[in-house]
Amino acid sequence: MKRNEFDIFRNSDDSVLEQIAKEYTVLTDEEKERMFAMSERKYNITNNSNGTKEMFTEDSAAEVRGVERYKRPVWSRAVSIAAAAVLIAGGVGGGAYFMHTMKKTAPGKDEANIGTTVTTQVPTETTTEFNLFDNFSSWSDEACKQQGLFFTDLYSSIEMDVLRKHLKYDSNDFLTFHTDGGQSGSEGYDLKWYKVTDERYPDMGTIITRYSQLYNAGIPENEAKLFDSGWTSAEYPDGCTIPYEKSCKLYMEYDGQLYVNSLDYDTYFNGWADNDIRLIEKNDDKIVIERTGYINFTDGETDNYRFEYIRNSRSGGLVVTSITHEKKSGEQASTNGNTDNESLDVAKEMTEKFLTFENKVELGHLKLDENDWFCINIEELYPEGQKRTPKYCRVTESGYDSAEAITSTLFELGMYDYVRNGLSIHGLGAVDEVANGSTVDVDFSNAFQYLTYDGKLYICVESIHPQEMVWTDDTINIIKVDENEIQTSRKYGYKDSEGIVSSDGDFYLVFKRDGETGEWRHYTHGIKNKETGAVND
Amino acid sequence: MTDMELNKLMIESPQLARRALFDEYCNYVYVIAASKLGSVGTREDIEECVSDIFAEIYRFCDSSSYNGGTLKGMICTIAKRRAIDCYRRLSSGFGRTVSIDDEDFSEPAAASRVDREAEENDTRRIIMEKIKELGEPDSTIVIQQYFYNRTAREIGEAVSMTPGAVQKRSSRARRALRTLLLEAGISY
Repeated sequence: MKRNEFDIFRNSDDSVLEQIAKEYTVLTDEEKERMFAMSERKYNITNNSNGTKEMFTEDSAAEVRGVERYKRPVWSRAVSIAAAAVLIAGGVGGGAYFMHTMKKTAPGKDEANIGTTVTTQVPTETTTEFNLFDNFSSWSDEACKQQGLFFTDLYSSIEMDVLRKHLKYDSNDFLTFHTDGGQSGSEGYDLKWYKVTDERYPDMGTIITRYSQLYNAGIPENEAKLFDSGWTSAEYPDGCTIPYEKSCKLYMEYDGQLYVNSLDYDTYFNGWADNDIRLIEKNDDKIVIERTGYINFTDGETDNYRFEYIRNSRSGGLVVTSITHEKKSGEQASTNGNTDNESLDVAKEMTEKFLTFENKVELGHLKLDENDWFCINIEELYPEGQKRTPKYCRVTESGYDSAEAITSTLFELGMYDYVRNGLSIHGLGAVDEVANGSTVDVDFSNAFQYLTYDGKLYICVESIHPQEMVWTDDTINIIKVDENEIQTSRKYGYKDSEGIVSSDGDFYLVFKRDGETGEWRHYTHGIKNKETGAVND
Repeated sequence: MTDMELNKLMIESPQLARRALFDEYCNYVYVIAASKLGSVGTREDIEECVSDIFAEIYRFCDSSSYNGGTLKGMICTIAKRRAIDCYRRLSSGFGRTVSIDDEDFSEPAAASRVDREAEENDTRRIIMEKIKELGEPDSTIVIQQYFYNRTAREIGEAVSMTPGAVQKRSSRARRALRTLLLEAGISY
């Protein structure tokens, strides 16, 4: 039975569809939450300011944010080493992500603060005076700012209400769990979870909805770890021991009721300084606005937060594509002109390491044994049935000749993000059994750039790039520097077999300092197209 | 949760009722949307469509037209109507014009077409029975792969198998299904 023949189900009668829905459920919790959040937003968007309902039409659908891949922009959450130390002193070993972002609330002092009144207002969708189908350039400045106010207030409600826990919860109604010490082997500790009583946040779905209104694809990955639902008293009775991973949740739903962890979560953002929205850029494609916000761990120090929003190409609505922040004018972070030598040295070393990674691992410029090879038979899924037999040759270059070796090398190069779960690299599959020079069947989903067999690493010859990537200029442009992050760009090109180097544009790289070891690591990268100016991964 | 309980909740707490209604019917609505859009849309399109459907359901429940009756029939009607709208929009996006002869053009059914649909419905029911006869996890793999268009990796996560193993089982399951269908007089 082929895929298109299965289209007979496209017009199934109700009983068949009902059977599939009942017996073959497929939706994950994440998918459900995403769709629920979208439906809530679409429902709410038709409520105008006086609360009356309007009929939902195709036109109004254009206002809705759809599902689009959203990569949270590069910005840093404050990491409190001292806060982690409080936990460690309490008998809990460090090492996990959450240790850096949560701290135990000091007993007595903070207990008194529990249940404080709400300080932020959840923003409501403004009644727009502009047509969403118009180019942004035809919008009035006031309309752009109005939309900016909505997005920035929404951001504040998430950061302050949810992450900083400025919501109402009952300090006398709590659950207590003992958590094990995770991999540290320590004895663990007790944690309280308080019942959330804030009417604005009746359940986890409401929090998810708030996120989805701002971040188009739902909760950013690092914050998604803070939420958990589906706890039951049957599985986790009050007072029991819970796994360490569970104790790292900031919010959880227990028998359908929302609870908040007694641990605190530090965020960099600490509220807006005022309501002044500044329009930075407005063109056909995007709008950039700026608002001044207080930052944590300082005495009233502020940053300028920039929100960039564009039109959703599918629905025509608006989506926030980036939120960045920097020191206010006059206190700009270091740039190329006054960057300290240490940052430049780090940027130079890290860009060279990245180049090694790019050429060796991504472009496949490795020493091979061409006498040790095999082919794989794969059947493409699209179009179904089309077959290919790519050839794989054994990699013999030291440091790259096995899965373990290449993993170790990637760590040395600071490419932690390329190593999956610390075990193996992305794009690595395995072959069960194959003789030298023969062809073996491999299913499509396992046909990666690299395959291992018998502990040896093989590379797909088709994937090897004919040219070498090079930096075409020694100058390293430092875009932003702070204690834990360096954003940089460097001009790049490709060298062909005759040594002729092309000029392809700028490579953008971001490096971050590991909070635990202090070492610098690759965080993300992208290239700027020299013709269009677009930046892509 | 029963319809009566949902209707009661709608009066007491509309917000909680929307959540409960979504939890109760999201699988059903998703299946309806997937059945209509599977051949023309992406998964994101299906999710968009499902959210459109629920937004419309919520609004209908708010409206004076809703009298607190059976939810399932109302949900099914809205879901199918909205899914067909999405299908038309997506089809036109692909440069395809929906003809009045097209199966998804919702004209009143002619007598001959009613016969044909009845026959096809029987066929679908037999296919479902045979898929079920494959046993688990094969039946789940086949449905997830061919009805929901899920990848081997996603199916693997759902049934605790490697993507490679999913592909192998899927291949065997298809062969077995073909045999079962031939025995039942259905040729694919």
